[in-house]
Amino acid sequence: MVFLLGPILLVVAIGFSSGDTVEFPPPGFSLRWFDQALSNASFQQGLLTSLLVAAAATLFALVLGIPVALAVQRRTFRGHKAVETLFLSPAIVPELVLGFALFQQLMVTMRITALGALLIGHTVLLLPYAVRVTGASLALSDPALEEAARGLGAGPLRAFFAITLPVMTPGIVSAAVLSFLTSFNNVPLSLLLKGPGISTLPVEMLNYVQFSYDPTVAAVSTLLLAATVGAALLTERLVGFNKVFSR
Amino acid sequence: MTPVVQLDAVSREFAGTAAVRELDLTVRRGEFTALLGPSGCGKTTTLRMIAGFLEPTAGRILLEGEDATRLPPERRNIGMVFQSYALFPHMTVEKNVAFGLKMRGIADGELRTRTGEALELVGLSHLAGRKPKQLSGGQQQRIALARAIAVRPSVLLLDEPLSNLDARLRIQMRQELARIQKETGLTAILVTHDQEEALELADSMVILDQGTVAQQGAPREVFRAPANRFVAEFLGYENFVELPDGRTVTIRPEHVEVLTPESTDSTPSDGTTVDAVLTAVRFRGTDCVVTAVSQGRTVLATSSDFELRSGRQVRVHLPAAHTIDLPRTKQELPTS
Repeated sequence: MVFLLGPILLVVAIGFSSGDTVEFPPPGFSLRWFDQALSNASFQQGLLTSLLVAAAATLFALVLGIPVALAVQRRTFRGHKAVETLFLSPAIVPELVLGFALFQQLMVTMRITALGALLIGHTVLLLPYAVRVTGASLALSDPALEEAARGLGAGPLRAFFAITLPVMTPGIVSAAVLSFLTSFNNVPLSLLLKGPGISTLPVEMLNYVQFSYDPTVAAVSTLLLAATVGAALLTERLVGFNKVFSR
Repeated sequence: MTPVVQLDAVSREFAGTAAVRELDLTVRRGEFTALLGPSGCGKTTTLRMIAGFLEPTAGRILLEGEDATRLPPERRNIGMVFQSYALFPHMTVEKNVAFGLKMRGIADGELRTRTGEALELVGLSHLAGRKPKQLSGGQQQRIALARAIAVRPSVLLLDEPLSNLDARLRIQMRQELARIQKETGLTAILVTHDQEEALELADSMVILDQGTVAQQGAPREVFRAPANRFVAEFLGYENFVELPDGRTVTIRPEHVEVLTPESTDSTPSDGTTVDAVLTAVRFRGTDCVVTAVSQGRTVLATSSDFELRSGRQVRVHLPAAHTIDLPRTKQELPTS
């Protein structure tokens, strides 16, 4: 508990410091580092990029991942295990390797912009989460549900939208939250796939601490922490936190 | 009258293995048919083909006299009750029961009336607003039944509907199922591996063995005269005795008489009497079950003679009136 929460509480405390450097205990209380953090142009740019990339990559990963999860869980076709493994593989490959491969292919060979490369890279990164988590919620639900709907007179499309999709919803919400946070917190991929004027918040934070050692980053971290906890609580209210992580 | 369901030489293979072979089946209106057999006999495959979830690899399926072999399930007007009940978890009980009516485009007023009727039929109108998760297994079972009945299907398909209930509830629901089928006059096909369930509920039972019909008929007839050893074993017959004249017969343990010098010294004139040794005696309260061995052949018998002990020399009488002749099945035929 001390090692889990201690450093985090320390960072939060330093964020509210009135001192000029990172020190503990802080000499006094002030909000000036929050002011500093919020008015920093590269943090603003980073936050916008991060939000955009996380939201878009989550959406892409779900749109691609849900059909894969459906196919893998509900149909038995030749090589369906291989397909599953393929879509889970980005979670196994080291992210730096993945990032370098994508950098080489997308940015050097195909000359795709940094934003495009970030979107593609993060989508690849999130696919395993989308497939795994929605797949897990499907695996837990009764395969007979869709048949029951068909038997009662619903065509395949109606059965999907009236039954299968709503039953999958908690899984989809879980996958979305998990994917969003994974993308938002990612450093290795974002570090390799950044470009002029386009990089994510964690990368900007990393840049910042390399040159200045003041409590601005602590303030940003505090804000991120608050936002993450807020997102978690919201998910808890919507679908139940246990469902998100009981995969 | 056209049969409600008719199967003509229907076969189904899975990756080259036949699950159902050239099966013929006729189900008449208002009839309760049970498809019965051990797991892997093809009963569920047959039901799923009637429902339209599986296509036969050969043969024809007629529903209400029309060829339905390639018809998708939503166009067959069936009512299916699944082993897992398959209630829609995100809908209330009422919405579940109304689902089939909604898919048929039935107007609000009638939809509500018919949903109400179906719920009343299973005695659960007071649970209309609940979600399936809030119901007990028995209640979920009834809602699944109400949902299937509400659409007024031409045939009610029941896939092991009682197998997830505990023993006491299962017997209760069996009676409930019988009542509802009588009240609605629905044609029904029940898939089960429980011979008691089939004997009690069905007007006609079809016993399947490796994808073909082993025996078919009214429960009383089938039970009184099993066609072969497979059917007899499946129905719970335990004694299979080869008589000195070469016939193989089966007999229920309660019909076998155990004779001791104290009880009688005359040899019964009918049937078969052999000398035997008791190798086991199980006391059951009102009687005991004894295992008698004669020349390597084993016969189970019930007796109310509580003085019987293991190792005792007795005579065992198989009354002619109770022995049932079994033809040799293919597997038992000598290979020479």
